[in-house]
Amino acid sequence: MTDITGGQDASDEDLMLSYAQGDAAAFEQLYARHRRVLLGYLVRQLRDQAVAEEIYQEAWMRVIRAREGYQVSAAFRTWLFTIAHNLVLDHYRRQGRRAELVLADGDELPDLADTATPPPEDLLAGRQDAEQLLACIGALPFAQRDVVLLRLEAGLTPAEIVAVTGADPEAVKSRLRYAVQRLRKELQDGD
Amino acid sequence: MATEQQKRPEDNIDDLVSIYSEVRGQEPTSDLDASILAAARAETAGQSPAEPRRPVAEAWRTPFAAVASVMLCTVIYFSLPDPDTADYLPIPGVADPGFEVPAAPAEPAAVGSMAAAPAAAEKMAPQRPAAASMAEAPADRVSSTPLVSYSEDRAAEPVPPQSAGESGRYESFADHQARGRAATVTAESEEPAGERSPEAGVAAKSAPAETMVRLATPATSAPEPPDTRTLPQPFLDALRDGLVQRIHVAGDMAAESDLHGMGSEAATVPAFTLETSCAMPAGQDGAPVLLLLLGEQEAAPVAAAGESAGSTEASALARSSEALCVRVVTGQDGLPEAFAHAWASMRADGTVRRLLDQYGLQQWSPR
Repeated sequence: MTDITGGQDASDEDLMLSYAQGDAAAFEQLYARHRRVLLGYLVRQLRDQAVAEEIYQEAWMRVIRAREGYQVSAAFRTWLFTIAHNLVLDHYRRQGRRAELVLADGDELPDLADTATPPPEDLLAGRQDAEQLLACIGALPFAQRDVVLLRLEAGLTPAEIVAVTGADPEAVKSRLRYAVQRLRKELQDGD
Repeated sequence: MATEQQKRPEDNIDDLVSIYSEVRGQEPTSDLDASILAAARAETAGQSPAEPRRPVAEAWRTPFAAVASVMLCTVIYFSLPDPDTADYLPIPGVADPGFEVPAAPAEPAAVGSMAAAPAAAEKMAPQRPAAASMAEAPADRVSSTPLVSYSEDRAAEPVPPQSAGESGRYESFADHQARGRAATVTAESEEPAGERSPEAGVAAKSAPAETMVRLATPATSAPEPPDTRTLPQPFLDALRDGLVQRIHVAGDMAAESDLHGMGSEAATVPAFTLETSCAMPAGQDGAPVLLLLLGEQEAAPVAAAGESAGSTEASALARSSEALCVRVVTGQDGLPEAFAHAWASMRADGTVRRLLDQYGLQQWSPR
């Protein structure tokens, strides 16, 4: 069997193909590349550590089970986050949980200014904005939070986000646009 | 610069990327890493991937847990009848079972021994001797051989007749309280109901009410589901799950659903067609106000979306069709006043509640 991983320079797709041929070390390398961002995306999207870890594990298990049939039809990263994204949606459906966008009669949309953020004095200066940004992202509607996290956390391009979410390209752009505008505004107001 | 950012912010978010980099990613626990890597290795080694660790709530979904739960519920269920009062167990749904009600046995059947079954069965169904045990019954008669079973402290399960005219299996619970033990005898008689002695039914009917234990109730009809004929199920599911965020109305008045990433299901949502010539604003991309309007007419669910600038027409549509604002998507700075008036009007006359009930939806309110 030819090892095509080629060390750190091998592409994700090559590593996955190598794993499909039985090279477990290739998977370990692949896993090491994406483990942090995938879990970060899930934790910040679901805002529940236990559920996020469960879905994180299930996402990787699906990758593992699909190894024999894997074909390079898209970037591995896109594929991985598509799996994770769909599991997130499945989770919400299973829970029968209405997204945080649901407004009771008379309720108002969540006000980002009310979002609890750690006291600035308790935060390192370099992390204060980041923590505030995280809090603002957490208060975004599901779809906007999704695209923002896929962009910032996973580092996906808008085109890749379209592929992951299956949404209309214009819809993705608009979500990103409104989310970014809102985040900037909140960050400025917080200064 | 600001103008540039408003035009293409998705291409110019370096500032946010920079800030976010401080908190980007999260380190999985070593256990999590180990379990996934072990599964990956097991897969390449030809083994089934190890079952990932599951939280307790997830573990209960396993088939074993489901079976165990059913068994537990069954045991609890059949432990409910009071052995002191439950003498007869009528067949659910059969007004006059017509079975022979045995008198309290003069000699209690031995408890815990299947060898004593024939004697008890003969008392119960003297027309045909019971097999001493299921194992001794002819193979071709296992299903119809009188069944005899014993239990210490519970009434056994009644079995409804398998067809009209068939008597089914009946149970009698002998009161052995005085003797400090209890026995349940289940026997099946194959005698046609019409050949039974009339005393049997009389005896059954004459049993004290408090001794009659109904173990099952006739099936009741399920409540009528909300009328959802006008809406595709995936769409309704998405509504209830709170996953619907936008209904995009294109220039040709055909609505294109955008359930933000619901994949193939989203593609199954048919286009909604506006019935009026409501002039929706061109370029719905990024519309700050997006509403789903359900027309009162069942055949005409209406989806409409509009920006603030174009909401007058949508509001007129809402009024003309007595439509219901089901969903308001965030991002707007507030709904146009016309919408608020239409909404208030529909709430006041009960239209909102009626349509919510009709479609089984939760109410949202514009602000």
